[in-house]
Amino acid sequence: MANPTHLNETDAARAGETITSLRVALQNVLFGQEELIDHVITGLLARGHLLLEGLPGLGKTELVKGLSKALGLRAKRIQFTPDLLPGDITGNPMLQDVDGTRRFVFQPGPVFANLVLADEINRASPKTQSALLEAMQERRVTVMGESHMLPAPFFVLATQNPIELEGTYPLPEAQLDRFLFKLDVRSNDAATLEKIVLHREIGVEPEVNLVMDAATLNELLDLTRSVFMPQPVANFIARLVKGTHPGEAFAGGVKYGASPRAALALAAASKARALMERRLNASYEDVRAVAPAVLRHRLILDYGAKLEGMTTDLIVARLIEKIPAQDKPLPSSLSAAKI
Amino acid sequence: MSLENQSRFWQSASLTLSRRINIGWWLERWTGWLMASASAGSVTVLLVRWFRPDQLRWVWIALATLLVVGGVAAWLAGRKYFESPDAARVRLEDALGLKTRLSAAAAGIGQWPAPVVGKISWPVRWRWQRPLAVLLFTAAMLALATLIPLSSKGAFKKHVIEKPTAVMDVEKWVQELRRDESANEKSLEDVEKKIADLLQRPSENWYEHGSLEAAGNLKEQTASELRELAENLADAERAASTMQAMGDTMPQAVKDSLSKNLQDAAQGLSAGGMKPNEQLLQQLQQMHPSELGNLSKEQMKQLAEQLAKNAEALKKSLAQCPNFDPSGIPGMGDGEGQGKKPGNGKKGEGPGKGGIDRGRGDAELTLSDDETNLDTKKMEALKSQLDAERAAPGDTLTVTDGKHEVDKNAYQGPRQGGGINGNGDGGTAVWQDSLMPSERATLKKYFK
Repeated sequence: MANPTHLNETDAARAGETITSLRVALQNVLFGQEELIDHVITGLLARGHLLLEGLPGLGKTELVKGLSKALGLRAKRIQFTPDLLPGDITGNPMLQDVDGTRRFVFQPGPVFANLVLADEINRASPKTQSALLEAMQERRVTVMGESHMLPAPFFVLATQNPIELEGTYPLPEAQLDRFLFKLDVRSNDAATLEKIVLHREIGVEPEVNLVMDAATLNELLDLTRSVFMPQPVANFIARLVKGTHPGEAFAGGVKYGASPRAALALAAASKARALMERRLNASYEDVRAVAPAVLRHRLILDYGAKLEGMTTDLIVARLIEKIPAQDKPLPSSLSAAKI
Repeated sequence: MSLENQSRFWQSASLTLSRRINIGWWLERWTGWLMASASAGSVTVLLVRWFRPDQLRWVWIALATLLVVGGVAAWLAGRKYFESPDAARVRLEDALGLKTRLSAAAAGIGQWPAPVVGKISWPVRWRWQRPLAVLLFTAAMLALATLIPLSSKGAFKKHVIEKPTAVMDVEKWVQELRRDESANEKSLEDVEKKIADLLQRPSENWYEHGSLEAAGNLKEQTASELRELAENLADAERAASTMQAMGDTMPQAVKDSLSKNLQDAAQGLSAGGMKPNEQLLQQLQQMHPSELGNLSKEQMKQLAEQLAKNAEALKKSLAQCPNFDPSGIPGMGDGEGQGKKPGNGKKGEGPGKGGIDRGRGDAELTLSDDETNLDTKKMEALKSQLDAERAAPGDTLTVTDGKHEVDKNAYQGPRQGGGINGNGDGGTAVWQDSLMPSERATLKKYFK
């Protein structure tokens, strides 16, 4: 696949087919989580890292494993514990005998993979968390003054458990901001559970076909960048992010709003979603679809709002509902019609 | 459909939507202007109908101009809110769920979507309630201002300042007399001066009792003077004609008698309140009264003709005078008959008595020592009956000699006052004599 300056319809169609294949492959791994799978693919195409929050046993790890198999990527899983050290993630210099001399040789840690599953990331100490988060941001690791580039593509899928919060280290807001999406992994319904029971067995991993290799994925990532972002959509993203700030009309209860990085994340995710739908341009619908996953972990509510049971999801839903694609007011003799 | 047609379809739809929104903004500004203009216009219509109803059409023209100017001003004021077709396109593609394909196609990315089959579902809908309500309200205001019954100030003023009938009659008399030159100009000017004096009072007082009475008296006085003038003219003309006709043949006694009549009439004409016309008056003034009997035949003829001419002119004028009573004037109206015996009626001494079938019968103004007895149960004191300062011209005044009649036996010496039969308890008389039996029973029951 080429990497045109502007995406054309042929490339969009081909990319769409590939993405559909990936989606089908993942749906065979994880039953009843179509929306989650779509968001994960969107996050990958937008070159973002994902934070998955959900109860144990919902298939988070299975999803990451299936993704690595379908993409033909090298995947590593790191179980975060309180005693995990930064070097356990990034790797350590080891004193080795090389050509008759003893010197330190860097031994890459598990972060040197295309796909890293950081399981229960909130159980590690802040120092360890920050080591991973630096790698996520810079896409390289520096040990003893020597930088080591991480392989491309590089994705981190971190999970955290919303229960058993004792002995955990919640991620600081600045570090949360580096995750493109925060996805809630929801429990399955009875029909899905029945399907799982019928098609899965404990200890047996599902078979996943290879859909694409790393090179194809990198091309897809380039195509995602070339999706056209119309000026009205950019304006909509800007107003949506601005609308999260305290003092804005529909941001009641918000203590701190979303950062410009959130606006960039919204734009990238919107483009990815447009490509998934084989479109050449991002749209207002794309922004509205990805906004909850992009914004929910970037808003900080004040105590009053928390006491009232307000959640960031409710705030984002309100913003999406109230902020129109066209912000120019209408005269009193006209009303917006519901079509 | 070709790509060009698709593009044209969506650009046209965007333009239509932007126009619709812009008309909405213009309407919003204009209805405000309309409301203000209609309010001011309604007040103006009312004022013009009050002051100058004949100029009402200019108000409508001004109002129409104001609305047109307001339309232009509303357009200029609303421009900053107007939407371009590009901005309207955003509304359109969002509402129709076109996934921003219109904006992308306009930027040269991708193709224009296929046109909508049938009618487009516009993302905005008219809300006519407010502009319609404003329109109806302003129309109602203007209709009310136009149709509400209202007399013009001019008509009201004209009605108010209409002169009393007596004054108008006298004015017309003066007009008739002046036209026929049947009376002396100076005399007419005197009458006009009196009229002017009467009308000098505030117009709202013209119809007060005193003013009306004064106007009536003026009319009566003028009529009386005119009758006197007519009688004197007739007498003089009759005497002069007889003397001129009989010439030297008439006996000396008759001549003396006629001369005397002529002199009296001439004197009356010269000294009367209403004098004859200039020419006759001048002629009479040039002659000495004693010479009237000794005029030559030619002179007498000339005098007789002059007198006849003036008398004729006066008759003609008086005939044209409205509401003029010509009785007593020779040759005009009913003749004055003479009975064989004087009437049997006894001249009343007291004032008239009011009654249910006649007028109030104003009493003569009297200045007597006694108070006037109007035969009512209430004694009327003179002072309250008469205010000499407010008496209108023509009110009669009778002064009667008299003295107080004092009943010298009325005072019978000191007498003993009445005694008290019972002291009574407080409230006894009230509750025993004034309360109803049921009320007394209630009170008894209460204090038991």
